[in-house]
Amino acid sequence: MPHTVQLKEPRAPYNVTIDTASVEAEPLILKHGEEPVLAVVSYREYREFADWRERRQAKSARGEVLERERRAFQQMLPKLLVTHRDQFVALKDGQLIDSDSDESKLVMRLYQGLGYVPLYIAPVRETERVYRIPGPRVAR
Amino acid sequence: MSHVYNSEEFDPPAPCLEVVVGHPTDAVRTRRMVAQFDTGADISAIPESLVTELDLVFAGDLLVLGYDSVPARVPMYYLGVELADVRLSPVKFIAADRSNVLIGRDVLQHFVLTLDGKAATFELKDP
Repeated sequence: MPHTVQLKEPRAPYNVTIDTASVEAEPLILKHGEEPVLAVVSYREYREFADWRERRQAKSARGEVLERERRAFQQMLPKLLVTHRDQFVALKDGQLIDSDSDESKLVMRLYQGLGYVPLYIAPVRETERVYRIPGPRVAR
Repeated sequence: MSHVYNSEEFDPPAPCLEVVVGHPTDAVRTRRMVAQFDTGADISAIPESLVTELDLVFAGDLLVLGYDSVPARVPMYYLGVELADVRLSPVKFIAADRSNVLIGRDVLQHFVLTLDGKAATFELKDP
């Protein structure tokens, strides 16, 4: 249970004693009247949260770019099935930039030529392959 | 060379081996990690944290069916992987909420894997 402290205004502005050791163990909730208004956490916990938030924002931004590339590929697919059937194609910024029947050769050629940059590489097939990873791991 | 099943993290013990995963083109940016072999998995997976640690960039996405049979579209990464003194690159990986690497049949198909469940040992070699 988080520790709660009632804020009062007998002296200006507020006065609250914070025990850093107990904040390390659990958050300190500051209330104004009955309303919780602030939570005080340790700096270590704050850094963990800030890092997590940064990772989530970066992941979200990457996800948007990936989604745009995927949509571009889906739009091109009918034509690619005529021109590049059973090949691997590579898109960057929504543009077809390379293709090869050998996936490994295509990937290494692109990374050597363009550097290690985000790409959208996919096989040109009528039906998308579904990969199975069935094993759930039960926590011990 | 014979390896012992990992009985510390798995019950029953599971065939695991230390592998090196990293950039397909940058041999410096690598991590040595424990990998679990899963012959039921079509594809291999890395812990999600490695994406940030190695500054990986996506190379597409894959439709993946997990244990709950619900297909999910997930980013795909090409990495290099070294195991049993063999380096394979580029290999498709997905990132998953797990602490170790999962080596699926896409990688295992390059090796001879012999499991001895009774003795809790296995051999992995490149024929």
